[in-house]
Amino acid sequence: MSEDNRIKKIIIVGGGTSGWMSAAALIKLLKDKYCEIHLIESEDIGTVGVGEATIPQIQMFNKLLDLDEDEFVRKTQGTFKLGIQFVNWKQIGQKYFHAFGDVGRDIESIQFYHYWLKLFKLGEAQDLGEYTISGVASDRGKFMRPFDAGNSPLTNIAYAFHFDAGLYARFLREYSEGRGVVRTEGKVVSTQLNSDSGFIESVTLEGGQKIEADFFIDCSGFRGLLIEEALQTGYEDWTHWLPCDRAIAVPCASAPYLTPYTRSTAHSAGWQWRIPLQHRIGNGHVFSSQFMAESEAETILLKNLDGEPLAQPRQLKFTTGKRKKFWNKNCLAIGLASGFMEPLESTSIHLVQSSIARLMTFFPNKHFAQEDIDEFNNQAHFEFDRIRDFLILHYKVTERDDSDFWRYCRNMSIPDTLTQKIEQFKRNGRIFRTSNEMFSDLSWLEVMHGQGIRPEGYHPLVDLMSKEDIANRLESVKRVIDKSVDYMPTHEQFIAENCPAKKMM
Amino acid sequence: MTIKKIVIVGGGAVGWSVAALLRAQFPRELVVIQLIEDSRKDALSVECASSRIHSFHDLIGLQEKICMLDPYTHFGLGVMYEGWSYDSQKYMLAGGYYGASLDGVDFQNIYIKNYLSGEKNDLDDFSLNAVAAKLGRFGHPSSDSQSIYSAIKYGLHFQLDSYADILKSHALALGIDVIIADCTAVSRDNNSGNITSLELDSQHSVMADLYIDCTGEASVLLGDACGVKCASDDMDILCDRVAIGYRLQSSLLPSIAVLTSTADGFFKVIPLKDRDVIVYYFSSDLIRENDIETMLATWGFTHVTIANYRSYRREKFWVNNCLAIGHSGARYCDLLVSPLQSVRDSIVRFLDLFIDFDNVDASRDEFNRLSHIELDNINEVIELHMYASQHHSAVSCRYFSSHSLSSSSAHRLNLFVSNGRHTHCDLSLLTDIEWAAFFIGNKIIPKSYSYDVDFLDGERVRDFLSKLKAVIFESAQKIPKHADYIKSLLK
Repeated sequence: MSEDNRIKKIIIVGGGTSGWMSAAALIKLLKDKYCEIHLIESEDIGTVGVGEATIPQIQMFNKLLDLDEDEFVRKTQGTFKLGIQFVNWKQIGQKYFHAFGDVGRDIESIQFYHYWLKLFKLGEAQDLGEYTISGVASDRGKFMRPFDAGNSPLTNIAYAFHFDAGLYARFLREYSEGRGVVRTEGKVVSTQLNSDSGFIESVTLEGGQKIEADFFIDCSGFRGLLIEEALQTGYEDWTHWLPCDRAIAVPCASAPYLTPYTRSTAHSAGWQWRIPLQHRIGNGHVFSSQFMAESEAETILLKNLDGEPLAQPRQLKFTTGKRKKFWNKNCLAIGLASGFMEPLESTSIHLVQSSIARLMTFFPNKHFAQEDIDEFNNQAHFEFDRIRDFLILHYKVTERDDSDFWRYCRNMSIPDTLTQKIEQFKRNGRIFRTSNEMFSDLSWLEVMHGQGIRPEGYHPLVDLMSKEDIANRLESVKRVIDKSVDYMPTHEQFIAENCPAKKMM
Repeated sequence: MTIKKIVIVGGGAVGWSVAALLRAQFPRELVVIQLIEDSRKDALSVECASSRIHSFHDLIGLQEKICMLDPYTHFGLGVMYEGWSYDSQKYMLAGGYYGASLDGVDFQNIYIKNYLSGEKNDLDDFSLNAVAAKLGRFGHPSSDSQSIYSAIKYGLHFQLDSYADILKSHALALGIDVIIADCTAVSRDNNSGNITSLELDSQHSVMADLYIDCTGEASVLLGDACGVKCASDDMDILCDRVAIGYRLQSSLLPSIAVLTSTADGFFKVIPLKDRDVIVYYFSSDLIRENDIETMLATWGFTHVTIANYRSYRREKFWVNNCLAIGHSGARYCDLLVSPLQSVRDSIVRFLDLFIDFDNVDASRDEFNRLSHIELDNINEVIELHMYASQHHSAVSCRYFSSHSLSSSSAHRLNLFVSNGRHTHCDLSLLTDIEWAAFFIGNKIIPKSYSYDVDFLDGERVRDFLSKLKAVIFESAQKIPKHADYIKSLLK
């Protein structure tokens, strides 16, 4: 009976990172016999992908595809990433680090950071980053993969990657085509809907070729060729909370040291990313056109490069927000077609990956059960909204008062869910991870603290331990981390030994 | 830091659970905790706790050995549904795992595909817990996570007064102050709404920074004094009486609680060491109290008491400096979710959220929000159980003639029925596989299953399932007989 219900053909519209990630995952999981998988892309349409930064969850995606990590890094000009350095966000001249992985070591089942909070309040603890192996290794330009080292922090090094998104898409295209995905070169010019159900029946390419399928995945980017232009799903605009709506991107020559982290530097009406690849650095200035002219934004970007620019700056326009439904009828939007959030916490690729994972959990048959689609959308909305809150936090909680942009951000109203999280942390240093939320309590802690929130209290049981004992514990955590970092090679050494890429330019 | 004080009003298993946990968790030099044990009788009679009780006992430092020395306390191996949605029905809702995955394909989907192809295996046969329980076997789970026996899950059954005594001696040993008195008056500050003091019939008056109301349905502090009203209740199961009785039984029989729906209500029989206790919720306009007594007598149950019952929840559970735990805040039909489970969850939640006495607003709002979610989840479990029994029970049938399924229950049901999928929710009471066992046990079978099952060869699946069944059966037979195990434990 299941044979008849089976989806027999899937069309992915749009290549680029999200299109090829979807194609690769589908062909791997559905194998080549389950159904046909087609991807339509046009070489005339550029992809938005620039230097791309990721979070550690991407390792799960690589594992799913059985990728050889060294090969993947080599072929994408990749480097390793231990976290994000935020510069000038709380105030000009101030820095903090959002590190991947553990912070310290829990004591008596109470999180380490409560002990740290107590000592920090007394002025007797160092910066939070000093108690994370990612933070200390980043500071010293070191990197290695974790290995089984017993209790040592070297067992738990959490890392992600920086890579060239265009090369990544090419890499996944090879992977997908090799396994049976059919690529069609062409531009979709129209979409045909079923007059009763409103489901998509086919797409027509320039030149008149019509391609039918049971299920459509829209990876066409901002415009949402299927999800919006054909199905008119609607878009929820978040510009009032995340006012940046433009970006200018430019690569520049490498700096002498290969930093194992992404840097985000706040400017007067936005911020600038810095993503180191093996032989160049990706940079971009994300800003609000309401508060800054494009020419000024470009000048600022070019003034703040670590090396000479290697190309003409490229402009991008976007509206932060999300599609009202990610999955509508027989069409699922993935990537920029599903919504856009600025890459402040490197979540773009993760959202693609988690949409794919969720698709496989709710993989449809020809009946397209509405309950499944509803549940998919509920979970996706939840994920988008929580990440949105986390991004707003960076803008809302700041001491900067040097421009209209920052004054706007400080005074803007924010979602209740975020207010509640901030209030809770302010009062008692507690952070509750809402079910399935992507960013952990530690991420929230690092950013809330980094942006300048100082809680009034900490866990009451912390007072059971004497100040001296806590200080000793903190000291020993720090000592162990320092020693472990001594053992690690530099980021450059590690790459040279394992996955050096050819210089492309 | 000044020393703070918490007063708990009302004893019983609820009050003493609160007392024991707070005393175990708050530093004694910083917080004084006093319990005012009143003369009110508990509405509860028996606790049928799932394996989640162990983590609570760990938190308060209560050893299982101490509990088992009590003449009533018994291990609980799961719940058997008999005649819940049709007469010959018999299935178990046992904790722990069911089956195993094959090539990364989830067991539930394998089972369903095989079921739809006509091979209607009994799902119980894939649960070590259920098979062992039915064979009358019991042993503690193995601590070796590689061993099949690590999957064993068990709960504990208590006679309530006796359990209250166990908790009380434990809390006293931890250093709780106790005053035996009834509360006669509550004073509040007109501006802040805070409770300022309690007058006791012993002529004392007590003051505290936080008052915890464990006075049961009377809700002396939260309801009476603070005026927090009951919210309109959306999950009244239409039973208005609860009968409780017991029958002595030989001794040391396997301990499976049995849940049944009848024409006029629902009942559960909960085995203790020396007796079975019956808790029977019924509707007095469908059956008279006398007839219930007669019926229970023919089943051998004596000492039957019948009390009025209604389900309700208050709009808030924590206002100002007054927190309600147990029936003082909410009451629900406790056949499906044990009465003290939500009590334990509430206190743990309070501790998770609480930080200091001067800053409670954020903690309080979050506590109330989560408590409502928890009660919504309990309602969903109850509602879907009634849904399953609607063609078998007049009470359920009547419920659905005037109510439709809540949207969250309907979503959960439809999601399972169409493709065997599950929804995510906060504070979920049942795991996905437990929901699946509930639905399948009531013959609610998905129409389809996940795509990846089709990658498995049918022959191989049948072989896999029959081997799995055999392994579970053989492993269960190696577990000691329940009676022997208990005798050896008590030696």
